[in-house]
Amino acid sequence: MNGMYSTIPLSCEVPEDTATAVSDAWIAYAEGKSVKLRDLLSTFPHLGEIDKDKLSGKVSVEMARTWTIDNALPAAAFLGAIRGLDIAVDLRPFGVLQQEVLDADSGLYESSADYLVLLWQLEDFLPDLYAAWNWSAEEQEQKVSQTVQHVALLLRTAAERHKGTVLAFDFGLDPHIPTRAAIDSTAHRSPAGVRRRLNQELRDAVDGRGASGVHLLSLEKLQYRVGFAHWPDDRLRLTARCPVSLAGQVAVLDEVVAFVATERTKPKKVLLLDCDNTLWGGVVGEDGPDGIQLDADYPGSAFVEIQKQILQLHHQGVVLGVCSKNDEAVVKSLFEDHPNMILKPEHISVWAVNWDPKSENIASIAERLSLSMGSFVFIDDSSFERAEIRARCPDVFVPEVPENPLQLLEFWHRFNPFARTSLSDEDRFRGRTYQQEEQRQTVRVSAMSLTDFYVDLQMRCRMWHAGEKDVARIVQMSQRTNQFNATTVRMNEGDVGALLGDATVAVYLLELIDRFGASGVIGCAVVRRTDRSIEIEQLMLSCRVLKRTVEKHFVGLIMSEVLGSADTLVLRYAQTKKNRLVREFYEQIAPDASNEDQSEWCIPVTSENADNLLQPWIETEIGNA
Amino acid sequence: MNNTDKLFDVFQQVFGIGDVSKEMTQDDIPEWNSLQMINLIMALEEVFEVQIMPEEAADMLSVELVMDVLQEKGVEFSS
Repeated sequence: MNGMYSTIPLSCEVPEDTATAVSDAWIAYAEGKSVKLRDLLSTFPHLGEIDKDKLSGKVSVEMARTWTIDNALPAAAFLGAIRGLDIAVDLRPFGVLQQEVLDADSGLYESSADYLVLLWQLEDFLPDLYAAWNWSAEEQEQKVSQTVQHVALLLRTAAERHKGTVLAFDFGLDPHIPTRAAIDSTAHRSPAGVRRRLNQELRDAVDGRGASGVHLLSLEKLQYRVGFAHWPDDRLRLTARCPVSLAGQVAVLDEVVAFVATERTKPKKVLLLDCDNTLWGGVVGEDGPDGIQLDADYPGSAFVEIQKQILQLHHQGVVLGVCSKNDEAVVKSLFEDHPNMILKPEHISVWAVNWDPKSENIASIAERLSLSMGSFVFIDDSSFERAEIRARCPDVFVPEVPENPLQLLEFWHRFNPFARTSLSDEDRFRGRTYQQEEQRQTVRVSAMSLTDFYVDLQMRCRMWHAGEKDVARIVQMSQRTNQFNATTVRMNEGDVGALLGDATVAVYLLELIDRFGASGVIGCAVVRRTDRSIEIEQLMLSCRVLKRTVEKHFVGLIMSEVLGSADTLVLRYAQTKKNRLVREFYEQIAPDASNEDQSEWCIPVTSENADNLLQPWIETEIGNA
Repeated sequence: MNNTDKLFDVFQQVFGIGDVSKEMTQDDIPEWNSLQMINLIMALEEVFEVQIMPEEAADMLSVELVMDVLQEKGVEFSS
């Protein structure tokens, strides 16, 4: 393994060629280069060869989302394995995040996943954000507070009902901010400005640090890391409702896995440091305090910065210890007197400077501090010392460290086994968790129901008899609709023309508009009349509008059309590998049918049945071709 | 590896399936959904060093139709 990141913090042993492949992929990822699909499909799954017994924890994560992250999913095993986790990520059905969160009986809450991740985008809640320049101060105020309340409610509802921990992201920044705009696009009135404000207010409204069972993670941080130029992907967004590039998707997944790993790993508390070539360059016992490298020039400049990094860890509560084979007096006086030392004697809690084996020193430190060795991290430039500690104190975390000072600084920038999942130590140790648990129980989930959600969508539809001008669209739907397609008859223009000319057949089309805009023609039904029954021999619905009760309404509209002229509505079904949704739908609306081969369901045509099928929150207009 | 082999290889890797033939359509490959379609496009672009526009992707309803689109971009398939 070569390169800057030759020390991937792999927490398990892997075959060397796998390690090299993974390392290359990791380098590309860590350096923010675009992640290649090849890596995801061929390299990352190599991790499947890892002996899972060597991974410490089995964790299940479930993601509900309104944007596609599916392409990055093969990376999940890799991202987990490097952190010692055997992680399984499952995706909920696409685009029904709000419906599932608000429906107490949804499949979302049947799962026993350890974590629920909610991936949304601001446009789900504020589709007219682009018009922000034109909003008055009052309008902006109202829209922001409505959105924040809505999102906070979703978060609280999910936390209340889901058994696991709920993770969500803020809305991040608009990655399309022009670089040389005449008017500052970050101005308060701009869409970007409103987005910033929403992030801030959402953070204030939701205790995003776990107290209410919700952790709000920062998308903005990931956008910086991947780079704004690499974050969006317009093609994926416009064609596949996937606004984030593959590299961005992997970053999101990585952040989730990192959170899980941090929360699941016993936090380290003590950092034990070697001295020579770890805190400064050179050997103080030989070069003397004036001869060591710790000054404004490289490599001394790298060690000054390394000490600043370590001091920050100290300020965050990490206990520092010095564990060095040296004369104690020499080392201590250097800490006291060297003008460029950032670390001072008062920052060091434990001194073990002598010529004894370091493993013995660590054992006695553990005893003195009454801490288990599992909370220790040991940093030493000598591979001999690292090997000795690994062999004799196996619970101590001993990462590989690069020798080159620049690379060593890079290591410190990335290295933080002391990270917490944002609940501070005070919170943890004051026993407030219990108290918070109680508060969480009493949080009232306010009254937004699934019905409110449907009403809020402001759906309006129009149904009409298809004519010549609709042929192309019908052919297209027939070719491309897979999931909600009852009989999956693939038709060409001739087939459709024949249907339109058949007096016993009616072809209905359905178009939908909601507060997010027009969805266009999203439904098609081919209905055949035979005697006193009518049969829906084809039913297709675009997957964009599933789980909004539109399918029910469509069947209701068709039944209303034939009230009085037919007795039975027959629902025809032909199973494929992809259209299970239709069967479930038919079973739901025609539960009494006891057909064994599941090729048809029947409902009596009555006004009562039609009313039950029609959805009060969808306004309807019946038109003609 | 000729271009046909390369193409079949992409199909096998993206959809995790065994044998691939020219005649296969979306209906024959259950894994061929809209999501895997994106993976297919990205993989084709990487392997054949082409750019595929959404309009062209929409026409890719079978292995043969995928070959047609690639052929228009100068990728040659010996018959």
